[in-house]
Amino acid sequence: MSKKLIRLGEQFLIVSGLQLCVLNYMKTAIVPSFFVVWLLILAWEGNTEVALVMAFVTGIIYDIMSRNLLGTTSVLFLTLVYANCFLKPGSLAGRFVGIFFFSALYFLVFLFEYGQGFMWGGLAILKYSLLFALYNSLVYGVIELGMIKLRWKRKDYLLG
Amino acid sequence: MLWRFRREIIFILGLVLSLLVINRSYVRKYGSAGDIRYAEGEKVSYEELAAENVRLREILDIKSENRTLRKFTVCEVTSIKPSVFPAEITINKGFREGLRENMAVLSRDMFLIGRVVRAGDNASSVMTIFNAKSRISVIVDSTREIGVLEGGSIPFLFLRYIPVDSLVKEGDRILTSGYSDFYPKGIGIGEVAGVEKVPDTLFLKISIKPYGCFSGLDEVLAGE
Repeated sequence: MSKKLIRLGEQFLIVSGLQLCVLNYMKTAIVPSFFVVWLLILAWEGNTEVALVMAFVTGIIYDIMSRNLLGTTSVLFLTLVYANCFLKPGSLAGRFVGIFFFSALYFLVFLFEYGQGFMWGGLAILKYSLLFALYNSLVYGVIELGMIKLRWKRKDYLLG
Repeated sequence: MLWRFRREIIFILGLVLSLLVINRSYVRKYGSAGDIRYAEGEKVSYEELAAENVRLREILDIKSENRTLRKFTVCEVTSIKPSVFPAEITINKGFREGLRENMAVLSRDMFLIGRVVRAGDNASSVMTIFNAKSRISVIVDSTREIGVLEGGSIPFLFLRYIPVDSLVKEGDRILTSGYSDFYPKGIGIGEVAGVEKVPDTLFLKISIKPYGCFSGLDEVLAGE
């Protein structure tokens, strides 16, 4: 089995575990979506085919975890990943903006019901979509910090 | 040639699969596939059954004491959207079990959750008090003043049309008034969390803390 596949499997298990934990134990109105952040990173790093497949799989898993109608999150994740195949922000700031914007957009679409409109009121939607986007940006920040630290360690090791 | 469009192919394939899954789970919930959760080989552990048994016994105890609803059906919650402060939940009983549109839905603790907005054959959709479209005629228990409880704002709901000279205070209980066609009188919804006087208006701005956020709902009661 290739190293890339093993790494992907590891990432998937970690992300699913974290998502399950926050959904079950974080008793707040909004919880961050590790799946959204992970899928966006995958798409931006060029693993678009893998990201699309994982969008379907994680969408189904998310629906099972959050007792949603099966398949609805998959459609959202797939659309999100496909749109991001064409947008590849190079800078760190661009990626933060991307995470923030697409998280807020995902939240808005998630709470929209065809023929009924938004499930919560305008102010609540605005407040919580921004909060959701902020949470996801923080998650991305933590991941980036970890990656930077890892890169430094490797550099130190190589320099002896 | 096809390899060039692999991304598009995976995307369309994923979408088609997702739509098939949605259709299947939708039919399973509302349509002709019926309520065959256990028959389809879903594994249910002994602990889960024991816990369910305890919950149902509690409901039976409530049933003997309950005077709020004339008749009701115990239903299992099958889906919640969104997972906290849900605006819509789906229950596993429908038209065949006697559920009708606009029936009140209560939690095990006899607090109002919402009302049935669509009754399918084997499942029903419930619009909760957090839904942006929810409007409930309520009464303040201490002052007996009638107002309208509006959904759409979380975690606190807003109570409208209570006059500015009202003696309503924090901690006062809010109950259904019984004046609407949907909800019987005296069902608990929440308590007053804050009272604010808005200048140049005739009414107070009152925020209500609901008794629950309904994130851990397993069984509910639907009735009239």
